[in-house]
Amino acid sequence: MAKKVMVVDDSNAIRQSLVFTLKSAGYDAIEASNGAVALDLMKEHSVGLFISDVNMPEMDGLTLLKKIKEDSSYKHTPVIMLTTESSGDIIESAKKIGAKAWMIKPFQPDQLIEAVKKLFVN
Amino acid sequence: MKLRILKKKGEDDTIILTMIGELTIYTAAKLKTVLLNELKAFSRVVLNLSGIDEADTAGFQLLLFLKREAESAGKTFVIDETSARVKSIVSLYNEII
Amino acid sequence: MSLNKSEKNFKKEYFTESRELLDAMEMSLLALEKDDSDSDSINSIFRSVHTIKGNSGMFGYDKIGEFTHLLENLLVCVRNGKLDLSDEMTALFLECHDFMMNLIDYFEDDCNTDLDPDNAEVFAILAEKINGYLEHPACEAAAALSSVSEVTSCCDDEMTVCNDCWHISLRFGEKVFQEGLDPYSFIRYLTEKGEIQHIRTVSDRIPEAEYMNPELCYLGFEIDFRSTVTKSDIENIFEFVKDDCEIRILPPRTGISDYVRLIETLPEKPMRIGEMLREIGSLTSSELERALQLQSIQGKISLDETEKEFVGKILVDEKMIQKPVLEAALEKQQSVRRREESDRRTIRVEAEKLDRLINLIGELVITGSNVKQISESEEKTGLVKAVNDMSKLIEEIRGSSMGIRMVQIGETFSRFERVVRDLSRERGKKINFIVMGGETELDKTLIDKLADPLIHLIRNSVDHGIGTPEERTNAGKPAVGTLTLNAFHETGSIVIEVKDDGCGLDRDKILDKAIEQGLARADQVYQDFEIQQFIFQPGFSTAAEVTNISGRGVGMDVVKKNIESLRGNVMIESEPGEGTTMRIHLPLTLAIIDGFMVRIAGSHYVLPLDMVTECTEVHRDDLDLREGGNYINLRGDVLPFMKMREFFREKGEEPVKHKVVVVEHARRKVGLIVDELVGEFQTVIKPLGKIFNRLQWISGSTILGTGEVAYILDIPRLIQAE
Repeated sequence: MAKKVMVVDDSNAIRQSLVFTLKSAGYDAIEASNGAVALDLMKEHSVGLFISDVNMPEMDGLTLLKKIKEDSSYKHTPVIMLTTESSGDIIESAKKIGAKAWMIKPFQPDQLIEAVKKLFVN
Repeated sequence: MKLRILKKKGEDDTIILTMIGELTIYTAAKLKTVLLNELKAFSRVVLNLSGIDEADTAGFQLLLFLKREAESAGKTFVIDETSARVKSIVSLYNEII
Repeated sequence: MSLNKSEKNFKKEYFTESRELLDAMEMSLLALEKDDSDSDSINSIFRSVHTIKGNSGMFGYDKIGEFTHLLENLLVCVRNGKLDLSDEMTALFLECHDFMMNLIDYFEDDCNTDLDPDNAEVFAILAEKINGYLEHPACEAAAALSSVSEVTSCCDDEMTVCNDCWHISLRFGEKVFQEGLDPYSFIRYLTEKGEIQHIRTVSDRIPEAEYMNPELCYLGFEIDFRSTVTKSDIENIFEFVKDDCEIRILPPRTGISDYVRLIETLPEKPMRIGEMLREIGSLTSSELERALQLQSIQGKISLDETEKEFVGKILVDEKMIQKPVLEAALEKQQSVRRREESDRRTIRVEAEKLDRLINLIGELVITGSNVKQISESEEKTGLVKAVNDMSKLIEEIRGSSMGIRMVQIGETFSRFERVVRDLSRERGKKINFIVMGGETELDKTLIDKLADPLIHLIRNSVDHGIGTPEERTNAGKPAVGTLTLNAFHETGSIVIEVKDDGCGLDRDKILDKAIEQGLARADQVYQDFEIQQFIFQPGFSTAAEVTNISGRGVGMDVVKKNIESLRGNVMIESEPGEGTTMRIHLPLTLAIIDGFMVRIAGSHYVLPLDMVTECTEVHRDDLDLREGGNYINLRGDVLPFMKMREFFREKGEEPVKHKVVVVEHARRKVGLIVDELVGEFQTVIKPLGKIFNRLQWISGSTILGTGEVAYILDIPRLIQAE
């Protein structure tokens, strides 16, 4: 059973374009509009990589990251954080939680695929 | 359950372990305990990895480690069958286990 | 093929630079010949060839590129100690040097980039010789490396890299698994950017069973990676793990030479080592950052002076770059600094522009003198003062513009080293060639015209003066002869000596020959000085057999003529069995001189001021008393004198008081008796027309403000005639 990439972003447009990019590259992707939805979905699916926005309603990306790191099934699963600003504060606190991979918006589809290839074992 | 291990005793103090599921960081800690125990009990440990559908470098490292432990204890540690997933890692790392 | 202007300029620069590099190469080769363990010289030769190779490729002179490439292969073998440097090999290198010089000349004259049949033939011959060495077993391996595409430049380092592969050394941080960063996916991703030639897993950090935590990563990998990507491309692959992973990326061997070449093509501006390495892509920004961090941790301050020590050392120690790359960067930094320093001191100006300036200044000096003379006759005080001020300025302009033309003679001297070397080999002689006073400055025009006569004198010394080692040993002398070229200033002249410690001039032999050739009479007794002068006679030769260099009877007379056309003279000093010194005296400059004007009867004459030592007065009666002796007493010294009135056959009443101008040249003093001392006078020498060529005591003329012609006295000749 192949693992999936989960895309978490509140922007419909971005989410869809990310999923489209991933699927075009042959990845199986599922989407969530915020952290809370993602937490629910990851219990139903086998996720091999998270790609998450930072600023989202209901549950933001940092909280989601924390939850992932606390989950015994997902604590070692890679997370790519997406951010619009390269603001040091957020990145620093996210790094403490355990986020290693960052992508600054805007980015090109192939940049995303490159990052996924570096992190996702499938 | 991410990993199931089926044990079967063979001839000449051999144990054959068939693994189904993940050989990854999520299962590595458990596997270490199980396999070190088997190495103590038997002089020959054979792994069947054909049922492994997930593997990562942590799993690969564990195999390297077990092989070293077996050799230093004068025992035999053999991988009998592997899955495509395991093969792809082992061959990328250019190791014969 | 049409080139635009800037391309042409670049090419011009390329040719100039290539010649300079070849000159440097020749000097190093000669140094190497004296001391074959001189590794500086080998390195310098290598650098010259390497740079020419790089440049030639840039400008499309592939043939030069091809040739230098071949030569470079051989040099690599010599430098690595794979081949011993033999005399034959040095000779071959010199031949190659000459050939490259020819190629440069050929390509500059011709807009072609291909070889003509003659050059192609030489190319083939030399290439065969070089390949002969390269076929030596010790050398084959080294050469094989370079035959791939680019030359291996300087990779005698210990790195175990495969030749055209990057070497990536990875030591992952313990937490990578837990952070969801799997080395597998990074390394697999690497295969999308190139080909993994070899990978070795380093597992020796896995601890004892008891302490081994399967969720921690203990692994490392050594990867040979073949790819065309850049260093930062590779680094980017590992960007997510770079914080807690040790990553060393070493370029392929061929990459090292690429880097070295890139360093050489960096702009000629001062840069720090780190900046240079980053610029060429040998060092990535984050590596540099890390190195600088390490540096500050070690409490070492990044001052320019210490930078060389520390940043470079850290970079190599941390295996961020290879030593050869660092060395090339340091070398470049040094050369930029040197160039900066010399740029601060010199500007290159086309000789033509300078000549035009000097000509104009010459005209200005004449016009200035005219104005001065006119103003003095006008007797307007304001005007006279203004003109005086102007004259001073003109004099200063003249002085400093003449200074511009002054060039050190050393460069010309060093060219003769090759002449001596080749010739002494050919004639089976051992000669130690010593150059002294290379820093002596001389007018550029003089230097150019001096080269040929000097070569002649040097050849004479090698051929006739210094004997073979056997001859010398038999004569109780060291087997190795000494030939000294020396330049220095002396009373307003430049003196250049060519001195050997050979057998000296054979007085009897010269006299015999002179009598035989009808230059001397058998019944006459000659002074040494007179006998020596015979060798300056046209057609005179004492050589028993004619060699291709000297003994053909053309030579010394031509030398003498050439030197005299520069208003100089040649003298010989020789002791039988001790050696011979040929001494050339030359005026400092050619075109404009500070003169001292005198009147003899109705005419004005100018003497070069720097030859005038003093002026004094003598009563006519005092001279008469000493008639027949032609000497006057100058403060107790005996001074020969010449009555210029008699000399020029001037008639008319002599003044009661004679004025004496004491002139000195070539260590001889003479008092010239004239009618009147007019004073110092700046003058531009105008060559005499053909009609005046017969006036042998006159070296030129100048036009006075009044329109009158004043003659410039040829003091050296006058002194000799006395």
